[in-house]
Amino acid sequence: MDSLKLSRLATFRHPNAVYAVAFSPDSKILASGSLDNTIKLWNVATQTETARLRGHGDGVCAVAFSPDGAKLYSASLDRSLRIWSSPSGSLLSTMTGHQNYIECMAMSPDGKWLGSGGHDNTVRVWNAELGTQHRVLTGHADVIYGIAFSPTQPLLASCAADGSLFIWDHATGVRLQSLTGHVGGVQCLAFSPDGKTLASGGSDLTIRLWNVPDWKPKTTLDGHTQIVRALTYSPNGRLIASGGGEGSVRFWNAEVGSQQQTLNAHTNSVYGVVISPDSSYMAAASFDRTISLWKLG
Amino acid sequence: MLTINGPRTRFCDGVSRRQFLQIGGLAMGGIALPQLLEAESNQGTGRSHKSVIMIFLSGGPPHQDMVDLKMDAPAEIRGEFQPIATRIPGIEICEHLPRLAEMTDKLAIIRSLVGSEGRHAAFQCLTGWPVTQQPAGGWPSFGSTISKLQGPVRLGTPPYVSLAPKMKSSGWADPGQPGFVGQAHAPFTPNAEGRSNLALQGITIDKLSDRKSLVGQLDRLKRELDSNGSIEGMDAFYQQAFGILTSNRLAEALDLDREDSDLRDRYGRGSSEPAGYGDAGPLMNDYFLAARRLVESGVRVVSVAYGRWDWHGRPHGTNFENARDHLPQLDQGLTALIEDLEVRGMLDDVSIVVWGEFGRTPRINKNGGRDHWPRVGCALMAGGGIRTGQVIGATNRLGEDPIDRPVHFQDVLATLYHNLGIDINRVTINDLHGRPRYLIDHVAHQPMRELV
Repeated sequence: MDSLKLSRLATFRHPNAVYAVAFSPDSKILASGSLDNTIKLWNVATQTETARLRGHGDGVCAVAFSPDGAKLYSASLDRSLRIWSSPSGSLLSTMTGHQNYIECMAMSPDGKWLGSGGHDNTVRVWNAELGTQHRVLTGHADVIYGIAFSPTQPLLASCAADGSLFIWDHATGVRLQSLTGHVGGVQCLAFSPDGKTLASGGSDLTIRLWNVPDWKPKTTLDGHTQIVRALTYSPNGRLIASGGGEGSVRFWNAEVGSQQQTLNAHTNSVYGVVISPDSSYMAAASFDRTISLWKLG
Repeated sequence: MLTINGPRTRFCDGVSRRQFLQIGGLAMGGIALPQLLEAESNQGTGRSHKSVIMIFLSGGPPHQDMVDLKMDAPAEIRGEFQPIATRIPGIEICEHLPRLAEMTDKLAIIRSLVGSEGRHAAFQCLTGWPVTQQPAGGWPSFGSTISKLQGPVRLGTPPYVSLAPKMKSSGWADPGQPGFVGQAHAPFTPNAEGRSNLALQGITIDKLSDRKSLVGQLDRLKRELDSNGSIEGMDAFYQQAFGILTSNRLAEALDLDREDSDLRDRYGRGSSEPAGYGDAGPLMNDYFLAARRLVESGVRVVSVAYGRWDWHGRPHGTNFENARDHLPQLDQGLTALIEDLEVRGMLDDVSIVVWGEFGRTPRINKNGGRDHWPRVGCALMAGGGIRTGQVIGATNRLGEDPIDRPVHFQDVLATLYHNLGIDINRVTINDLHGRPRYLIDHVAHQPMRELV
């Protein structure tokens, strides 16, 4: 990762701000969710739009594929989560329960669970297969902005505008830890692929790395000049990519926390960053109404 | 935008009253055909007419993030943006308005707009009056008043055109009500709900001229209408419909494909998609170009609703994310309009006002937004022969209240009436109870002395 090479392949557009991106497990499809209430599917190889999924009644804030790629999950400000078939884009199911806008959603790596959070200050865990609500986790005192599942344990992390960052055992619903360190709201979360580190991005412009399982702070990554809105790990865990309010995407050495590269990719906040499962691509979703697709070499 | 020969044939036969009215929302001045013909005969004489372009920033723009940045305020008020110097020494505006900064010699920046009713509606910007306690028939919008007082410049060109697009919020999409001056003076609204395409559905102009049944339909409609001025409106409509249909001037003005492509690029073109969530209108810079073409063709007043400026914060984007999205596009379109009018020698004849319902809260809310702030707002004015290159008014350190020269909505409209040659201290129009109504509360509000 010392010689990180990136080249911009394409710019995809929505009529309105883009909040989320996700690659299919085979890295061939990119899904994007927008404030225009739709989801678009893009063929990564041909860089063309292949489907536009309509049905949500408000902006789409999160998208995630099932591990087999047959389903696409979405969360919306309309308070619902939806399950779509992929790549056809037909609606399979709608899940309701949140009492206010949803802000975030994540899928457990085994594909069994969905977690969501939002303006009703609750974290909700859903059975992804059945499309039913499994558990409601309360304790945050403000809007929940980020959520992430551990890849190795039944752990769920959630973070909120009140600065709280909680670790939950989602099997039991017990809150295990409260992590403090960020100044102001905590915006986004990502577990490393080996489950040994949790990364959090905040309104204080920092990314903080937390050691699992003792949850002690490891490193603070400074560089963003605006709120850190998005985080992801590369599949091999050696790289962190982050998106900021200033429109940049930054790459960090996950081991030592050094910044490796900055892409001035967008003209407005970056709300979503994702690296493809085959490590060939990176995509970023921005409030500037575009998605940038990059070749990672 | 305006199609004379549409794909479907459905006009006279089986036509509905609603369809007639859709075509009929036309400001005509309520004058008789001979007068229209007289107006027509005046065309081509080279006389210029004064006109006004009103740009409504739907939702309420943030004054402190545009033209009145508060760098001495604490962070929770100051916001994310930096001021930049402008062409006029001592005047600074937002970094996201760089083209306007280069053009401040052609702008009057009002930092102390007051009198907002605090209501989400274009009404106050279009009429100058609050929604409550209206006179019989309702306050007419500025364009309708001008239509009543000055009529059309020439046959086939309505005095008042509103380019307000479709929006879910009727208050924002309000093209301007005719109020007590009557339906004859309602704006022509090619973009309004149900009228996105003024299609005459296959009827050619020659055929239309022969359609006696059309006259019959109209006569029947007239009998159905009550006596509150709508009959006059329908007479005018009847005349205007023929006027528009037998003249291609308006159609040509609205056909932007006739415009130079580079100039259209300079305006920024824009998108017809909603510019934000929910009931947003589009950031359609083409409307600015259409406005120039319309006033050039003889329209006296053009109103435009532009974007969605009601930025309460996440999850619909913070105030600053939305501002980073909207401001550059406004910057491009507005400077293109001013520049274009100047190049054509029209700037002194065309007054421009850019404003919204109110300002926004000094304190940034927990979702990164700013909420409604009726205590003070901002406006931009240009053209019309006013004295530009100046800032009018000031607010306190936190942008909460005016501390110098409060400017009321009616002061701005009084200035626009003045620019069109109308003396607000003398001119009255009767409301539907026959009571004379001044256009402006002229005891309290006058054309702005700094500008005229």
